[in-house]
Amino acid sequence: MEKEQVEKIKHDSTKVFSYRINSEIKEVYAPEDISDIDYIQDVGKPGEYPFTRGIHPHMYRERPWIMRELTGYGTSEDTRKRAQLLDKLGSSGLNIICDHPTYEGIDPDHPLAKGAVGKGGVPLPTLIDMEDMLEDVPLDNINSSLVISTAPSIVILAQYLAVAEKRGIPREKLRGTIQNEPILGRYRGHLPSCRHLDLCLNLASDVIEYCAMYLPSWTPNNTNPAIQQRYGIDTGLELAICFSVLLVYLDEAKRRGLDVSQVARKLAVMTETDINFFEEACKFRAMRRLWARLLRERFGITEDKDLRLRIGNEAGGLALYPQDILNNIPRLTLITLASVLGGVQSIFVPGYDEPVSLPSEEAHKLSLRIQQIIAHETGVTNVVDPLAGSYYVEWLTNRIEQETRKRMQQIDQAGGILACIESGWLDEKLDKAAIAYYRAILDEQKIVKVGVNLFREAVPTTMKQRFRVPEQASQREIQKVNELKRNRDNEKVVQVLALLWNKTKEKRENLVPYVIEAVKVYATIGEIFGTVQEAYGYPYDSMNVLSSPFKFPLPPTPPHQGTKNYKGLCK
Amino acid sequence: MAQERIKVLLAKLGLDGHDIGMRVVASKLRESGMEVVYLGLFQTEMGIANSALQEDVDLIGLSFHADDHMVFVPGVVAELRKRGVSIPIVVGGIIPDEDSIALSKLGVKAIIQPWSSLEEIANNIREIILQSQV
Repeated sequence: MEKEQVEKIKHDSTKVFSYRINSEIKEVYAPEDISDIDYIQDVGKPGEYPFTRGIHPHMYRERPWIMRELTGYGTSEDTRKRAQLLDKLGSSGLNIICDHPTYEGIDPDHPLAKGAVGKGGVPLPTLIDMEDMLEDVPLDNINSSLVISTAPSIVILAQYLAVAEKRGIPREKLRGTIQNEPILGRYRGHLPSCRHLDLCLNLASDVIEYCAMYLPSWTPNNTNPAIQQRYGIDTGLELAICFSVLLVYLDEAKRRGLDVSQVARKLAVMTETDINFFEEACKFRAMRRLWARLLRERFGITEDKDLRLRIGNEAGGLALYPQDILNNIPRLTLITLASVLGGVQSIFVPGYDEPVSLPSEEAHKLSLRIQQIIAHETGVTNVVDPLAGSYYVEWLTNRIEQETRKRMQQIDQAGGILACIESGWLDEKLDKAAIAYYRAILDEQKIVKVGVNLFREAVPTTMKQRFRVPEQASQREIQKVNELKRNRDNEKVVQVLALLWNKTKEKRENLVPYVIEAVKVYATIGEIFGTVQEAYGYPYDSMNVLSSPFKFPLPPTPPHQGTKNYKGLCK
Repeated sequence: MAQERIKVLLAKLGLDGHDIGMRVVASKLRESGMEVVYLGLFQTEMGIANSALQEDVDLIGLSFHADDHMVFVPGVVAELRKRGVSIPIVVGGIIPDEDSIALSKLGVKAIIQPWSSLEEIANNIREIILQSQV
């Protein structure tokens, strides 16, 4: 039967279709396929507009990409230990992901957080957790990446800034990234905290604005089309969604009177790659070129330094399978190589065992080793953009740019990306794509996955758990928050949250400083995000279960009695 | 005798948002002529039991991805038992071997593995329902 399948694939070889570029692929490409390309205009030198060949003139010759390995499980201590291990092996910086309750802006003791605390990331409900995670971490000498994309991202950044402030490290010295992209959060399964698009846009923009003003070396938004790609969509739609969202943030920055070029310079994207090798490598080339062109066209930005699109890439995800799990190692290697040939700025290689569990220590180390071997053994970093000039590569790059433009036009015609999300237009597109993609693998064998739908082993695959989060972790975390709530100065918490409520209600000021104040008195993420949601007129609890323990606005302070009066308000 | 339309409830419990697998399965089941009561994400044990009863479904399909199946499945079983109904439960997603055994002991009729074809899943579900109605 397998042989028949292979025969069938051979038989069809006159017609090869790539779902990634939504197009047939010819057998050979020749000069006529790229006759419309002008080297200087469309390709150019590395480090120069339109940046097709990379955003730096010397690329990896000067310095390899940032090798990030994503960590987060159990408690902040567990997470720190794993991050330190990776750091010792040469991983650059700290790359942590928050758990689901943190993503949804609820506390670990929330009734619906059951089974989720510390499971898919680190719980960071309060400043104490952030302090514990960053113990011994030299914040003035590290490039951190805080992976949380939902509306409560603002709280996590505030925690990080509060830790730095406590240690006396000036904001200017902090280097890092917070994902902070809630508009697309619902497509990553985070509808509860990303349901209200006005709130999403405002909170994310507050973070962007604050960082643009005070944190010169911080990336305040890392828009992620990656999860879109999990639906099996083509690169055109993937990039169109990504850029449309980025433009929303820039429009908002402009509306706020900020210097758009200064903000544009600070944005970055986080992509994900499938295993379609050349399509993925060319995606990065097309992205840089199109982004630089869009910024020129839409905002008249002309300075090279503002037009460079920095790209982080997750090398895999969609491409990994639980069957014959070691097969994921060559998959990850090839995807990482494609990202390197595409000239990205940072790479995160998932664990080969991630279809089954969070990465085991062994898998985590291996992911880092894949990057290091490609960087230091293969010699692929010797030449900048080595794929350039190939007829196929340049044709692909063109094709992806054109398809993206076409899709962006469709989104604009449908009322813009926010309208497309609100009306369900985008949901429908993604759902349809996902169904087609998984059918193509599972039922139709149109997309081949070795060991999955071709050359399957006769013996049924088993599902061995590689790594499990320690059982007691969630219990420990819940205890920690409960203790904190008892021991902190609750009067102060109420006062600070009341101020946050007022400021949110007024909608005049950036909320970051007020969230920092709330974090510093150990208000929890649930209390802070809840208070902001309620001030917006939305339910306090994003899961719609709890009601607010506070009653804002506070009654006016009677003279001479100070803050004692507020005691009864914290139910 | 007219054959009754099969009715299947699909849901995910807890906060994990990996729902694409379940959505793809839902589309396949609908296409195979079944009625799908799609509760989607963020459901609770009690909510699922209530909906299953109200909707009079023939089977409950639960999807897990984040190592939280052992946290939730016993609760769903208990809630159904409390209501005195026996509706077959099928669990799909990332389920380690050792837990498959534990889930079977709880009465889960089948574990749908990520490598099952959609066709297999639909047939499997139909068969389980037929058997449970004997």
